[in-house]
Amino acid sequence: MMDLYELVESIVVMLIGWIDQWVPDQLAFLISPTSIHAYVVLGMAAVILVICLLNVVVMIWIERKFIARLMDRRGPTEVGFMGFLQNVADGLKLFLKEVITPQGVDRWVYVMALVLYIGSSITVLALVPMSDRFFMANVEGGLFMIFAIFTLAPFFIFIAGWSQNNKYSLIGGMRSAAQMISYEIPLMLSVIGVILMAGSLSISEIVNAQSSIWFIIPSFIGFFVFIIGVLAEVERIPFDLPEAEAELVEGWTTEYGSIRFGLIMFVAYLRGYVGCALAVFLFFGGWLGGPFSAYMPPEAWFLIKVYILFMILVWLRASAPRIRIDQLIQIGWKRLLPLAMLNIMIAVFLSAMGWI
Amino acid sequence: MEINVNATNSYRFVLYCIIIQSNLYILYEYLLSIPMLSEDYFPVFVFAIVGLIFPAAVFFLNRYFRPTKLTKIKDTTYECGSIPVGEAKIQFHFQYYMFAIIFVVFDIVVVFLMIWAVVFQGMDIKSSISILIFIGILSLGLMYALKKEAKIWI
Repeated sequence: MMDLYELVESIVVMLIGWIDQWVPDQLAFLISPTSIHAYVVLGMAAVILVICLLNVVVMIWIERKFIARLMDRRGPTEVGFMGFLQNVADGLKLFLKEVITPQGVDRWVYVMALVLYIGSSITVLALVPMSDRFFMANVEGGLFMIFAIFTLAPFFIFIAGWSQNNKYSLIGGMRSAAQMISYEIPLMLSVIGVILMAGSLSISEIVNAQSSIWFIIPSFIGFFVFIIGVLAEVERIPFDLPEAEAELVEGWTTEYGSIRFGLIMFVAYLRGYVGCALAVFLFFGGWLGGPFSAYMPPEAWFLIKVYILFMILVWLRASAPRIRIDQLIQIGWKRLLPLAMLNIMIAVFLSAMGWI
Repeated sequence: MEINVNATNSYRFVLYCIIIQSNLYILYEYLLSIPMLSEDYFPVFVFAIVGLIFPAAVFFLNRYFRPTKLTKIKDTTYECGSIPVGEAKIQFHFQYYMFAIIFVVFDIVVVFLMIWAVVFQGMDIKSSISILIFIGILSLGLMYALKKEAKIWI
């Protein structure tokens, strides 16, 4: 089966074949094999970026339609098929709005923190494959690196909150940083059971280890802890304290207007996509369709699982109230951490008995 | 004379561009020669650069599409409609510092545990026992730290 690298490489080689004869000798290094490798990697980056951004648009649409049905509304209906293009229209509107940089902000930090937050969140997409042929980089320590890049965000959020010279954003940034670092520990501990059973950190090997049984069955507690950790990391509704409207206006994003706010919201959904994708890789067999795998391509299996999991998160958003900050910290350190430890013990036991 | 200077300058500019181009190329080949970047991690490196350029380019392009009508009152920070009082860049009590410290310890523990979990199947029972003792000591420390922690109210 042809993977994405070979597909892009064949296109690049075809294009270079057309302009080959007009390239002078001094510029011959531009069409050397090393350069072709670089063009192919850039082309893959463009393809993955466009597909993942489209995917995020689909997820925002799913959220708006599904939460509207749960609230007995219809959601967007006018723009595009069933309101599909409503998000694009909203993004365009935000793009055309005036940017206000208030007095007293630290201008350099104010913009750079946002660029680094968005950039680091986008970089994770390079390590999130869609199937065994549609990926950017399939590295040995893939899961480890995803966590390393994914959890850079609290630092940028904290300095973004501080730089705005606004009391709400200061407290919002502090809350956000505290919440993210508190839930990062249970999130990563809950994964250890899966790593132990799969014996690898590579995403493709973890997925292939689930060809007989999905890891949600032996480590259900791990999945429970992981999904709560993801909810807290992406600041979705039961855990959206950093932007509690009734207390903190809009949290650390208060002073970001126009397209800056648009990109922040977009990246929040992108992080939601990465969280759901990780849960699917680790607990639901990734792109494997089991006995029905012949009916759909692996990418479709993966996306369907991600969308169903995301709909469960939307359902939680519609039904659960927001919790208090002290409860949040208590749950993270005193409930989820022991549960994650228990999950590791179960995984050690199952693995030592040779049942997995 | 002026024309000559200009011609020389433009010639120099082109030469300069070519040198920079080839220097970039040398840099690129050097990066590829680093073992970690060469095979697997090079696409991640490229994607990180693309990911950083994407928001920067959007903010830059936005400059040509948006209106700019600043007024003095629009320029103040948001404080629910009233005029803001004082600065917000103050020394504020960071009540979560305790959790930040525990986090630093536990982050390293998680890294140890991950490495142990990868090689678990190839090791005997002694490794499990020693890592369980390690986790037990840390859990005792965590329980002690959480008991000492004060009440949180923001």
